[in-house]
Amino acid sequence: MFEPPRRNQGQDIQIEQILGGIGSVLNNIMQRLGGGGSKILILMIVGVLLLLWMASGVFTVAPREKAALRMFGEFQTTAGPGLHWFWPAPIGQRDIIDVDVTRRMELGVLTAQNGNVQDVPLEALMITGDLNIVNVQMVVQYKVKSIEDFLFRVDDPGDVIRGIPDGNPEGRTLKDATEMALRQVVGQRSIDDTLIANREQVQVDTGLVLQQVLDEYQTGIQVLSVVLQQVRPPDEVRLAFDDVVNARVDKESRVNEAKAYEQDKLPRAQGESQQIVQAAEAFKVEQVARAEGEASRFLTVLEEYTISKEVTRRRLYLEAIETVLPGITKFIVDPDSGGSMLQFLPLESEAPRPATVPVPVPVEGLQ
Amino acid sequence: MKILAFIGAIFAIGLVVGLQSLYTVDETEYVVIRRFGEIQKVTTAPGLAFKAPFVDNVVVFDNRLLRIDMPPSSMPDKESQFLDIDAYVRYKITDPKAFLLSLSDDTNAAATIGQIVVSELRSAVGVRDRKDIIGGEPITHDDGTVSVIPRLRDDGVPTRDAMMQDILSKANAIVSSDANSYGVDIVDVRIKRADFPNTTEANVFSRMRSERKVRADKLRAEGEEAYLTITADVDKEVRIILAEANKTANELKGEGEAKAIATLADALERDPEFFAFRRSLEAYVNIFDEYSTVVLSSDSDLFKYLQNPN
Repeated sequence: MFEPPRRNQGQDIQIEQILGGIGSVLNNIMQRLGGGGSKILILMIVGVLLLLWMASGVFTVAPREKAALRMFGEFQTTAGPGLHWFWPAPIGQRDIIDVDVTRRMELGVLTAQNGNVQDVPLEALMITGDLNIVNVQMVVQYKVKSIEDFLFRVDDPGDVIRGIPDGNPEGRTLKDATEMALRQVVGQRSIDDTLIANREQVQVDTGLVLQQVLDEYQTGIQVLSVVLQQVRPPDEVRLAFDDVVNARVDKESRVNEAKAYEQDKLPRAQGESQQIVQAAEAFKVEQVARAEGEASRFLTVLEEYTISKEVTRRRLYLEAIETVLPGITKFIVDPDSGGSMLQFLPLESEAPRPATVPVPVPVEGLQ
Repeated sequence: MKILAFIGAIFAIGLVVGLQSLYTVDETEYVVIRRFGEIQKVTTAPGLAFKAPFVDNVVVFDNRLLRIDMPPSSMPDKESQFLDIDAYVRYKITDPKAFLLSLSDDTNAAATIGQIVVSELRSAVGVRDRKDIIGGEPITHDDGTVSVIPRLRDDGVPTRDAMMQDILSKANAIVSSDANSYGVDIVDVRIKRADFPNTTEANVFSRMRSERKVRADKLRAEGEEAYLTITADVDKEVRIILAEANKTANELKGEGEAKAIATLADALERDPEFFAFRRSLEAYVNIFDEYSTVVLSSDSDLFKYLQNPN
């Protein structure tokens, strides 16, 4: 049968001890007095006991706490922080609950009191809408919003592992509803959504479904937050999922390589282009300058030549011949002595010319 | 002293009788009063109440939302694919009298109701496919990715909700039928977990792996595609840039040459004969080298003075 946690139990035991002590003292007094005035004494004893019993109805509610008060089993009222009096047992019953504290429940993972974290695959593994399996670990934070509902509306076997007693909807009821809500939400999503894209939405939706069910059951629990801790593929397929991540990195690095190629090649090409154009520009200027130079040289020479044409002409001719004829093989033939040149053949044998010597043909002025 | 003892005895008897004729009904309870096994009355309001002392006894029932945890069981769906289904039931005792007469206690109630719901669950799973039960509608896109939307029945209700509603109403119809009238209301039936059985899990994992492999291969191929596209584009750009440069260069060279030709020709036109003369002399200088042989006529102009100084 349901018995909400009774905070005042320890107090009761103390009072009984005190009462027992007082009883023995009174017996002692009665024996000494020996009968006389025993009626008054009994009345006094009853009065004192009554007072003590009444006094045990005084209790305090700490800040953040709330008390639910029952008289003959019927819920009367709640009491906030402060000093209060209410009928003591067996007439009254009071249950004090911390309503402000944020409580916490893990799903798919179990953190022991010594801090060891242990996976709970049975809770964590679930089917997604695209029939994949995903491992989800989640934490629900909640508090008590209605002490009356929390205490009196829902039966629950409690949860030994989490130290939650019978009759407290924090136990199986909350866990059932959370598992149900999470699986329903994940069942309507793809594994990618759950793993990466839409974790926020999974949290929000799970919270909504969970709160709705908890309200429907009148648990008096307010969900504060639903936080996905770790969402990952099951260990059996971990490598395959990791490889997709690696592939995405590979893709990016390939794109980056291409961009690096672009960053390297394009400026170089621009530079080379500049080089070609500038060289051509230089060539152009060079050509024009040379032509102008030559033209001006020619004109200058021509000016002088015009003044004394015959002499200059002859001088230039002789100078050129002077430059040409020394060092080369010359035959001077008298035309009157026959005039045929056949007598000199073969001319080449006189001075064989090496086949490899290049014949420089300097290009001056015109091309 | 005798009087005192008498008063004490009267008081004690009164106290016992008083306590026997009083009972409390807790906020979380219903109380049924039975006299020699026959039901006298049912108290649903919490608080203090009266009964006949000694002969009436109190039977207490829970008025809270009760829970039945059903053991996970493997069920075939429409396509004979098995799913391990773990569900729970929440119910309430609504008519303690009927409950007492039919199911009599919580343990029996859990067994009976549990059996009814499991049977309904099994038949509900049997006429649906996996997607209906899981509740997702996967959509494969052109690019091979899969997204999921909630699977809805024709009337827009999510299939999973619809299934639970179906089970709930059928189970309620059974527990409240005239033949049974258990005095309970099944408030909720929910599937906590629907998992693949261990035997098919391996298949699911290998399917997941192959799906991921397709994804990874595609990503890598896309990377390669991007690389080749970008580099080809760059190569094209480079060739265009260089071609443009060469074009400009040739244009410039042409301009330079044309201008040079024009400039020179302009000057040379002033005396073409003198140009021919000068240029010929220059050519002679260049044409002849040490291996050249010339044959000259002795009566050429050059040798005019060679034999005759006058």
